[in-house]
Amino acid sequence: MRRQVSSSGLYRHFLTRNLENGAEKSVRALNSSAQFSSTSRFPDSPGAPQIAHPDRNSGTSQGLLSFFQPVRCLDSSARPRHVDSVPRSSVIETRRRSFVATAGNEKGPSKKCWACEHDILGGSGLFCPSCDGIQPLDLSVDHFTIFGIERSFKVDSKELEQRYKSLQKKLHPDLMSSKSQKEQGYSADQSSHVIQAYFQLLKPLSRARYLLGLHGIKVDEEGTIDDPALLMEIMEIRESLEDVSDAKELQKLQAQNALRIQDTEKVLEKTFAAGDLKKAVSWVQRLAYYNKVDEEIVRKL
Amino acid sequence: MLAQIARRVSNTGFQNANGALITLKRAYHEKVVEHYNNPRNVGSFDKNDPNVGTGLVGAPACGDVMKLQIKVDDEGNIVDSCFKTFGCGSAIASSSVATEWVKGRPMDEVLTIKNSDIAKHLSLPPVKLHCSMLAEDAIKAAVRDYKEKKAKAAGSSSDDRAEAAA
Repeated sequence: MRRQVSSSGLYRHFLTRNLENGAEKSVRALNSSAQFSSTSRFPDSPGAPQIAHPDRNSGTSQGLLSFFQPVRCLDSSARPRHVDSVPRSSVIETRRRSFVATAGNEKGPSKKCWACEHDILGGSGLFCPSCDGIQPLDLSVDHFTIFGIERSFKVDSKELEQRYKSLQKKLHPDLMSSKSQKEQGYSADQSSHVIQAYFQLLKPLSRARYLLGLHGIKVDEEGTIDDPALLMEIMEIRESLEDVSDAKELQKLQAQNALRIQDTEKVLEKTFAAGDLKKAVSWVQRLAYYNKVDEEIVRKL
Repeated sequence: MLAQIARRVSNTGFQNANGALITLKRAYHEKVVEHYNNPRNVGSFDKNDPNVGTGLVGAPACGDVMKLQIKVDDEGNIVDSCFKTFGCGSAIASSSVATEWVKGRPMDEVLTIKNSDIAKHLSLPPVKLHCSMLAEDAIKAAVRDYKEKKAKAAGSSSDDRAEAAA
């Protein structure tokens, strides 16, 4: 409870600091919503713990979450933990159970279903192979395993889409209305995680970055590069784009750029297959630049 | 439930719209906007001119490219500078400030310009610090390019001097 109060205090601090003029209305709305969520998640009668139902809380926590999104990049520590952990483990019992499951996983091959205690190692880890019960979100499972595809840069987007849809057909929260509240919470977590994983694997650039991340390489987000050949090429492309406003001409440039993107993706495919990660980093940077050129053309079109 | 979803959508929409509006209003300091609207020293020098040093740097994460050029006289003073940047407002403003600051100063002195000085001058928020970093790196790259050019042109004796300076 105290944490709740201090973090909504943090909200207010953030709001008054950043919104200075004319945002009293949303501060007021925030106050009332913070109160609402705290009462709904910490019921008065201690004997009857209530699971935070995703639907019941969504009106407040989701709203707060989205409101907080721009701040995340400024200071991730300013984002209170409880906001994203609302549906995940609001009840102590749930927390303990899921802790047992993941703690076992960290140590070695013993991951058990929370419902039937059956071993659930292997597979996507989303469902129990024995009782088909939905499992709590396990972030140690990588995106490729979730969709049951090979961990490589080459991904068949049709197959990925198919697997994504069939997963959502099983775990979407809308299909869980007859299940227990615990399972509904798991479903909400899993479902949103699967959406995020799908889009990360769908786009070649984010897929490549994710793959490098799995290998422990974080493509330097804020670093600067000094690769004269690449930068000169990008400079020339951007300069040639600068004075063009004719739609036909822009489409021609876009087609040219699409070829560059295609070629770069082919090289990346080979580079990843050969395991040359250092080279992959520089090609990922190249791809990022070409994608930016495309964005710029789309903006002008 | 439908009503809840509707409320959620409208709620998020309102907060998002409101947040975005305020962010837009407050995103850039007036100095950044000033440099963005009236960038100083935009342009290009002939990069094959022996008195010109060209620094080309980029931030791949945001797809920014920055070119900063210096024109140096025989005493090693920077007499002119220009830039061309494709990137966000902060990157453009940072390079604009950088060209202003290097003009009329000795080449070795401008190497002491720190990105934090530029960021402070423009009141850049923490998320935009890398834009000023780009400008600092561009200045260094331009000086390096000029020295390399001179070293190549003048043979071994000035080669040593350039190395000592670097």
